[in-house]
Amino acid sequence: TGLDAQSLLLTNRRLENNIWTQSHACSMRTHLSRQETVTEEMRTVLVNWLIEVHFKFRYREPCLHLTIQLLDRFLARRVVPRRRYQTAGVTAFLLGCKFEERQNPHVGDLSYITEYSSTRQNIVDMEREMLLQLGFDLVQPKPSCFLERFSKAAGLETTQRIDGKMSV
Amino acid sequence: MVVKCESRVSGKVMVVKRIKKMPSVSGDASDEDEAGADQGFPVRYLREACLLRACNHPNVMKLEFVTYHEGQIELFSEFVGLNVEDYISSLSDEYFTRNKQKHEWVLQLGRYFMKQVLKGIDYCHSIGILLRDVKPRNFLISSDGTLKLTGFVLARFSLLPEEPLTQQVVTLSYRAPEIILGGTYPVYTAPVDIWSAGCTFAEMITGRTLFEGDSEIGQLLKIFKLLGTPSDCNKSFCFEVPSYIELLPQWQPQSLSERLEGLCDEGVDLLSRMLLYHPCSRITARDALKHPYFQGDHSLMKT
Repeated sequence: TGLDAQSLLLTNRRLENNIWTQSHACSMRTHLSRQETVTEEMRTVLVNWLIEVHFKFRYREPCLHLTIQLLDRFLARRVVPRRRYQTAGVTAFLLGCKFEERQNPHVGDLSYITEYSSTRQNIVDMEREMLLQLGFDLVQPKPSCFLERFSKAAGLETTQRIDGKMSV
Repeated sequence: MVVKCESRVSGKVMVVKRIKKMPSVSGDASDEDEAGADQGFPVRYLREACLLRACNHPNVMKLEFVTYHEGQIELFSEFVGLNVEDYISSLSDEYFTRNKQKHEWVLQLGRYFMKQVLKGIDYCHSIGILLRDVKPRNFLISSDGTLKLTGFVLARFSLLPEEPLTQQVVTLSYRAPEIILGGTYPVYTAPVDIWSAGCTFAEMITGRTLFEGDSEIGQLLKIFKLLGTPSDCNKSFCFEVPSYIELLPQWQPQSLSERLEGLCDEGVDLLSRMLLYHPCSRITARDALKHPYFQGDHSLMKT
């Protein structure tokens, strides 16, 4: 996590690209096609924003991967109106943190980072909807799991591992 | 609150765990805004529900479904029955003394249950779940003698790389030394469950808790008293341990077979491998299942 801004930007771009393809492979074909108001550009913006938020909170990668995975799976199943789109993103982040991290952000803080466009109640409601929609199934393989497994198997050094992490 | 119920649709008997959603109390005091605010689905139950749903194994309790209404969460799982702790306390003392026939029966049952304990743990570890709360209370015995693993409240999803996790896990009596010694965020992984399983094993055989400490340090003393104080702690645990450990009395390891009267040599050997200090040299659940102790036909005799 000791990255400077320049390389972060680069990583962001790559991270985002990679997850884009990844999520296509993972979730259903009908990924965004079900959505009426949400476009691919909007997803890119949202994911970029989530990556930024994730970096600010200084959490580890699995949390981010889970967040984006949850968001995509949710969008593949449920039509989300445009004004609730960011709420969905921030809720996915909340669930990702709750599941992966030692500490999770307060709902109030998450509401704050959306500049109160999603109220606390919105987020809690969205969380319930998301959990029920996904059938409480949050355990899915994430890119970082594969990376760790393979690099361990190949006996890579820590520096090489970090390189790998960046490219994921 | 836990209640037993019967489904009107399928006639299945199920257990419902009903959780009232409490406003968070843990929020820091400086954060007045957050005190008492609704934090959504509680983290521990979120993990329990998700991880149980991800499991599908005869030795893991099956979670049928989850409902989540305004402020109330209900987890519906299959009805199993008695837990191992109750089973142990239901046996009278003479089962654990030299009274030949009854003790023999306890030993056989112990082996039979232990195999299932390890199968359940092995399954969870193989799909990346760290249980962190293995103890007799969390094993349920169904009417046909199948053991089911439950108590996923403290469990989490974690893979190979060891990472610092929180310290407040595992009931004290079953807590592995690396968690006690590791500081605020000790690094630990799957072997902590094996340690707890070892303690459970001994408890099933002797009817008493193996290490019953009243505090963290007391727990450590109990462990060292039986297994010996390690002479070179940093080497035994493969990480920096707090310096106070050098002030502890130097005990010699005691014989496990004396403590576990009547247990065969293979059983004692398996237990000693499950209770090694160094997490990496501790036996894994999968290797434990291949241990000579479980070889051969050990189906239960009807009593």
